[in-house]
Amino acid sequence: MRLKDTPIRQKLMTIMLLVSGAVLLLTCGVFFVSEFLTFRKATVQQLATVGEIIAENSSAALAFENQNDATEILSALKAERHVVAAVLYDKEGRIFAKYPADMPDDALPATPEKAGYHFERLSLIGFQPVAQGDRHLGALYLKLDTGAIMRRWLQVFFSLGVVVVVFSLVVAYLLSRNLQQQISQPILALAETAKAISDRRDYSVRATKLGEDELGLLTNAFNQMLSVIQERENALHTANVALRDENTERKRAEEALHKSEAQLQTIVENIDEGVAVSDLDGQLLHFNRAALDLHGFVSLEECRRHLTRFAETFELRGMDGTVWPVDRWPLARILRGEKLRDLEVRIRHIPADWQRVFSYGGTLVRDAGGQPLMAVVTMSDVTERKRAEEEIRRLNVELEQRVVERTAELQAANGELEAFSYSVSHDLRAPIRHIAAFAGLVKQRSGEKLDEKGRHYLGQVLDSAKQMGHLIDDLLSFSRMSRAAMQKTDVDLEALVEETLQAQQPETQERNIVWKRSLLPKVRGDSAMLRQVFVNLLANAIKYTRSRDPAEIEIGCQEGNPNELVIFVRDNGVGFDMQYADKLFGVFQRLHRAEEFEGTGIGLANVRRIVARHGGRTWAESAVNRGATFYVALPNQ
Amino acid sequence: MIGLEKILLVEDSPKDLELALAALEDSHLANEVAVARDGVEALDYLRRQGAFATRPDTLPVVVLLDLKLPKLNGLEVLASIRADTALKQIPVVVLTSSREEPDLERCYELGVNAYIVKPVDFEQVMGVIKQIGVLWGILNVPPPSIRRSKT
Repeated sequence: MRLKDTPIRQKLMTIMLLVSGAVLLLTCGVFFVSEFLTFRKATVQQLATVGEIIAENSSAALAFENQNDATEILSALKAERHVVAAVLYDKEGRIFAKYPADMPDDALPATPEKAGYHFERLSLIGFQPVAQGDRHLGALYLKLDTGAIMRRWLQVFFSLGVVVVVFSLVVAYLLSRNLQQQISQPILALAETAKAISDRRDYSVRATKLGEDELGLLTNAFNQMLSVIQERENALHTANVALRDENTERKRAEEALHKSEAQLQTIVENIDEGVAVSDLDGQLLHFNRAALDLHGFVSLEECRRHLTRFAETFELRGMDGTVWPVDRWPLARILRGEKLRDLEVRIRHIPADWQRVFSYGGTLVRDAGGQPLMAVVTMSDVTERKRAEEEIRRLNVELEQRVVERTAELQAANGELEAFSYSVSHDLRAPIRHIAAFAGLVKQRSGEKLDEKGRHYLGQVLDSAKQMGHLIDDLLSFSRMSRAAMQKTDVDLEALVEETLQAQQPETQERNIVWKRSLLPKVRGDSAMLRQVFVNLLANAIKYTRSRDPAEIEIGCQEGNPNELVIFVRDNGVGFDMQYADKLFGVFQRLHRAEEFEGTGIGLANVRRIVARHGGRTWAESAVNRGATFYVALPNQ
Repeated sequence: MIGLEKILLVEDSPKDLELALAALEDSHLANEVAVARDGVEALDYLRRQGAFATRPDTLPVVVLLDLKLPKLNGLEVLASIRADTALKQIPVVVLTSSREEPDLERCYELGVNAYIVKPVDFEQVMGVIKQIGVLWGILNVPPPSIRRSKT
């Protein structure tokens, strides 16, 4: 395990132990060196002292060249256990005595060296001059075996060192164990708190502050950070809730949109009108069912091509028959921004060789910003309608032609009729007038010369001429009535009846007539013509009730029919046989002999013609001697 | 027909002419009637040209004009009279068998002074012509231009 991965308390203890260990070792080392040097110095000092003593003691022996004494003196070195060799040189530098006495000479330096002590391997070697006053007597050589001394010293030193080090380390361990808690405790507490927070995600927990040191500051900062985190957490939570709500809402809206899109899709797919959608480049994207059917496509894939490629299959012509290039086709025009409506086009399927008439519409679909998104084309098959229209147009033209022809024929006929009636009016009347006039002149100027019979015949001539004159006049008025243009105004029928009755005064004043009148409304019509109707109907009623006393004549209005106004004139006169009812309204049709009731038989024909020209109808009800009722029905406007 | 005729009767039908003269006789106006048998003759008379070039420089107090006439019809004669500054003031009475509306309208547009339809009835036709003769030949005061020329 690497140091940085070990727990912090261990780390602290290790650091402390290592540091104290290192300090100890360093101290020991320095101490050792110092002790060692002191020890060597002391050894040298000791040996020098021994040397000086021996040199002092042996000066006499040397001076007197007494070898035994010298050997004797040297053997005293036995007390000095570590002195392994000693030599006394005479003033010429020859070996005078040696210690131990049996040591061979060649194991000893042959001549004395320079005075002084020095270490040589594990030995301390020293040369001491021997003198008496200023008189040089010789030299002393000493060899001390330092190895044993050193071993002993080292033994003592190291055992002491080990004890000290071990003890120090134990103390250091104990101290560090307690002291590291000062640092590690707050950190561990902080770590514990952090772990708890991260485990439970409870940001309301706060770390306990144990002091005012840097760890205290750290705890403060940590707690502060926690507050911030808690705040953020809360804000995040709130935002999350809002986001979730929003998401739910959006999901719901999306579902609704999907649903409505699906409905729209269903509608588009099922309407009878063909709908095609293209992108802005003219690439067709979609045909609905009807559009596919209209084009004779089986699958959607067939329509998914570019507009220009439709020209391989279809040919479009205007209603005038000119072939349209693709850029005049409905979709091309829509893509250029045109809005189309009811554009009728002849479309031909080239391979299948069928031809129909389509009515096209469509526009660009834009987004809210007005940017075009796609083009939509609608189409429907109006072939049948077109055919029907053509047929109607053809029939209309034919009809118009026929009307023109008929009008021309009618105009010609009318012209002829006019010429005829003009001619009748002038040329037919003139001879009658002449007959009447000259017969009149005969009667006036030569009447006296004729006999009774002659005068009677002349009277008959005059009567006939007069009758003929009336007939011609009535016929002309009837013909005029048919040809005259109607001038429609609001006509007050009540006033009209009143005026008519006033005009009939000469006929009615001698008669006993009971009038029943109900109020008549105003109608829209030609006043002069309607007056003619009432003149005829009332004159008839007055005429054919001549034999009645009292005569009863009723003028009224029949209720009940909302579409027409029915006016009737009822009398209690001689009436007529219903089997002739239809003849009654014919020109010159009479049901009575002229001696009974005068008349030309043109009045009711005029009534029927006038009412018919007003869009109405006429009929009559009667029985012989039971009176008659004449009905005039005018359409309500 | 040379003299101081007061009335110009334009009539192609001899029978009508005879009848008209018979009627006017009763009013003692027959001798003052000049007769033209067609439209051209009527205008020639009024303008004193053709057969009438030597006629005295007088104008009738009334022209009795039939509509159906050979050459120029009555409407054309009426239009010419009204277009002629010398003649336009002469009273013109249309006397006709017809009461066709277009004729009526045209006549009044051209400024006819009266439009009379000849009745079929003998008594009536005689009465009407007599009354016209009396009204226009005797009672009516003609325009000054005509009176001047008469003197």
